[in-house]
Amino acid sequence: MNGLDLLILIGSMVGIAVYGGWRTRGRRDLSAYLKGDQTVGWATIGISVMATQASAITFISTPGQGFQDGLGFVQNYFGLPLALILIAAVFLPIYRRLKVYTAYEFLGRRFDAKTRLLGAGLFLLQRGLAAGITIYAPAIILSTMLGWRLDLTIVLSGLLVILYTVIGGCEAVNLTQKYQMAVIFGGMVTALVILLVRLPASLTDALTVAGGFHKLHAVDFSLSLKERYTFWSGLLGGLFLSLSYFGTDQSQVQRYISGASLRESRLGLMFNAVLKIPMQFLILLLGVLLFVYYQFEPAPLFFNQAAWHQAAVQDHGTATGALERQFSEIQTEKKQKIQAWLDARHRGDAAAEQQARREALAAGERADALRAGAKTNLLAANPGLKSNDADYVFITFILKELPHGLIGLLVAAFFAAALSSKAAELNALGSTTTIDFYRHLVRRDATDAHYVHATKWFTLLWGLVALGFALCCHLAENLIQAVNIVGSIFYGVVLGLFLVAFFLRRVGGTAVFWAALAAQALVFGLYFSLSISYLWYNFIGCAACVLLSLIIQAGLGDPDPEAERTRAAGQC
Amino acid sequence: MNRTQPTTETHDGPGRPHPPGEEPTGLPGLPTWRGVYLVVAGSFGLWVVLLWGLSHRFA
Repeated sequence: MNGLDLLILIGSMVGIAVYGGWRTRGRRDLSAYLKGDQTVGWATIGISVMATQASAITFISTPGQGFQDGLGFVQNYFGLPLALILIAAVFLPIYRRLKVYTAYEFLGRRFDAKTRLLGAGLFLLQRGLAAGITIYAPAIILSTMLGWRLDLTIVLSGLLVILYTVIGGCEAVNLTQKYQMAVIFGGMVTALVILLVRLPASLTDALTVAGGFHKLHAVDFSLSLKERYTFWSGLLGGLFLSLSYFGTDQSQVQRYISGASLRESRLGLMFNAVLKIPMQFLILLLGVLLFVYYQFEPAPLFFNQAAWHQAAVQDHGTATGALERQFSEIQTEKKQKIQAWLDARHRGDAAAEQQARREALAAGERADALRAGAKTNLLAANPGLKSNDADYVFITFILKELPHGLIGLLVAAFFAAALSSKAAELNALGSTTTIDFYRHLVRRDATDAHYVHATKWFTLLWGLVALGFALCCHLAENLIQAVNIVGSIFYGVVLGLFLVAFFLRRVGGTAVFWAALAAQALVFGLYFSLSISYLWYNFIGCAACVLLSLIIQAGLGDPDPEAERTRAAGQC
Repeated sequence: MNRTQPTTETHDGPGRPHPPGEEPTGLPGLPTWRGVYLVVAGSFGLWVVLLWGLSHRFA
């Protein structure tokens, strides 16, 4: 990165943060600080919901997924449109009618205080864990690209987002997310256009090569539970994951309850229901086209060049140099076979096309095996190395192929994505801690100004916890999967709580509370003993919570009608 | 809680309450929310078909 890149990066990120903080400074009213000024239109809500979900991980790791595994990951989002329809039709009108600050307040009104605290506690636990991961992702990029220390990068990126989120609350988050999404879309579209221009093959040939290497297998109707992404796991598991995330996760609920009316909130959700799948498809397609690009252009054996160079220094280039030469020879052979494959296709020689394709695939398998061997050696030499090399593919392309200025724009896009999702998380963590724990258990009758002050302190505290977690934790193979796995372990049970609240009116607080605890224990047990796609835990946790609630309630008998009437009147 | 209770946001004008969830969408050609949800579900179905077609075209 040169001075121009740094100017674009720092100027856009600090500029947006300062503007957001300045425009929304001095909010003393609790409703304005936690829900904005209630004049937000559907476009802002739609963008804000999208920006909250699409973290830096989405834009770094998803192209890597496309590069490595193809388009199959898009199935993960198949349940999302249906979930958003259900939320818009059922969840949202109730949240707005009850005028809640957090989704867990609804649990308190419907059931009792302990169930509200359980729901809020599960949210704080899983979102607090995920917060560390989302702050870590952009730090990897900046530390890799700029040669900065990782810990320093985590602290600097974390402090900026903490600052404006604490100052302006929900309104600052909504306001900055609009501008941050503009930077993100600008950067990603630019990268896609440049990649298309630089591809040495036509788009049809590129898709032919990608399809030949099984990268375009977007929809898999198999019923296998062990396949990580299938149509059914995406539709059912994704439906439950999305219902939990958008319907019960305060970082999302806080975005859409801030709408000027029910109509604006609903249209904001429908905006996401229509656009999310095409957006994820395009990001994955970017990764697939990167795969094709690196079939024609020289690709590094290991995309995490910093780790590779470190290994080369350690062995004085002996083993690493030999591996690089071997890989280069295979790549050259593969490129020739792919060219022969396309030439045969163009002249309509099916037999030659099949033969060349088989040879190209064989060369590809040898290249993959060499990469796997290199990765094993690197991990043996450095066990702390983050091992999923796919996360570095897009960054490598940006650094090596984009002109200065655009490098700064793309880094700014990653950084904007990190800040926008991080801000929403911190905003929600601070709000939930204040409303569901502090106001409920510690200070019931303080002024708005006091609660705004308390929320600011809790937001700061959660920001520091996330920073600490990001500095200390060792992360799983793939960042986006790590976030989804953490979410899937907890989300199903939380969703179960809400579904019982919405649809099973004969179940009371005690039954659902113990059912939720038992269901969470079951999910933990299954996670550590079974090897099924993590998406299924959303369904299992939810189903277990609902079924156990019915069984326990049957054992307890009908809930106390007087208590139910009191709860229905909105007193918890 | 009573989920059938009308909300203050379901009025289109003075004395003209709409059933919950049936307040006007303000979208041309899609006056009801049920219609909006059907269009959204239809766009999802269309995407699945297109993705399936892409998989098979370049298999």
